[in-house]
Amino acid sequence: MNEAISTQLKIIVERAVRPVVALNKQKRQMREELLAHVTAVFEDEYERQRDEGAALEATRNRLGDPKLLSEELQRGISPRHRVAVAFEALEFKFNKSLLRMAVIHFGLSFSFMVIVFLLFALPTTIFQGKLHAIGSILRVAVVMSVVAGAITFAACFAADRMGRTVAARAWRRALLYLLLSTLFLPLWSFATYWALTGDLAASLGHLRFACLFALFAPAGLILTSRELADQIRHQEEWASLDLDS
Amino acid sequence: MSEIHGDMLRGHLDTMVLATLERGEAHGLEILRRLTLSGCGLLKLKEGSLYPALYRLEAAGKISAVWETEPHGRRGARRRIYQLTSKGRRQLNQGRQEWASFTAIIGAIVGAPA
Repeated sequence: MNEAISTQLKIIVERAVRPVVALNKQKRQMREELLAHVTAVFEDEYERQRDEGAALEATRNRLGDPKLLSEELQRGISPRHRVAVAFEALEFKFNKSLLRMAVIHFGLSFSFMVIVFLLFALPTTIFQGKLHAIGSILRVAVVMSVVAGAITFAACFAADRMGRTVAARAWRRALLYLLLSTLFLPLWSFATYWALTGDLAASLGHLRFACLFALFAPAGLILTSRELADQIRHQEEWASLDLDS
Repeated sequence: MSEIHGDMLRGHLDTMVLATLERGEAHGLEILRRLTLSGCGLLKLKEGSLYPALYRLEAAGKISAVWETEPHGRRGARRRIYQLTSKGRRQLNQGRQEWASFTAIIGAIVGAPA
């Protein structure tokens, strides 16, 4: 089977699957399973007719109207999964604006930290009668919230860069990113400590301690980039199909 | 005998799929082959409609599925192998009873001489 036929088979599948509102995982399953099906049907029809064009046409007919199939597939997506699709939109996805995703993640992390401080740290301080400490608590809250948001924001970009690098199998660049990411935790720790204490010498001392955890960031990057690269390859392969052809 | 098309099968497809899986686990195309063989070639089902039915049955816990460990054919796309669960077996028995009752009632009306 040549590449043109294989693309045509993917188009047959994608016409039915693309309009379906479902989780990426579900759509991926539909694509792979339907592709295996139409491939087998095409081979079967080609064996019979010995004409690629006629075999393709027969494959299309046997699968049925893509619009009806989309509707049937959509009906099979449970309300629970439709809610999950809405949440998935908040997750990092390569085909959405990276900046938008990073800003959303910044907002979520920032809000989470603010809520934690407002719900726990502030009431505890007031309950203990340490009203003079409220200023310090608020300062810590602001610094920690901004830092948490900034980490998430940076992590979005780092994961995207790393995912694309792994997807392109650019291993030297991937290694460079991993080396750079070892600086992430020590620098973050130093910046946070300095912002909280204003003591440069103590912050530099703290930096030595933070170096012990330097490998956590590259490890996290390796774990996330494998899945992301796989997702990017899959999305690129299917999103590039011209369904009007 | 005349052909039976998709519209006439509506409402019965799930039970038919469960019945084919009672004979053993199978992937989508094999389920269709079994349906075609059992229907003596008179069942004219659009093959795509099988998959929404399979996903529906799987979501309801009536069948379970696993991906093939080895990709099928030269394109490398994997197939899913479906299997009847105990819940599916119960559903199949219930479906058979409903079908027997349906054919008995409708048969008595339609089959009765004028």
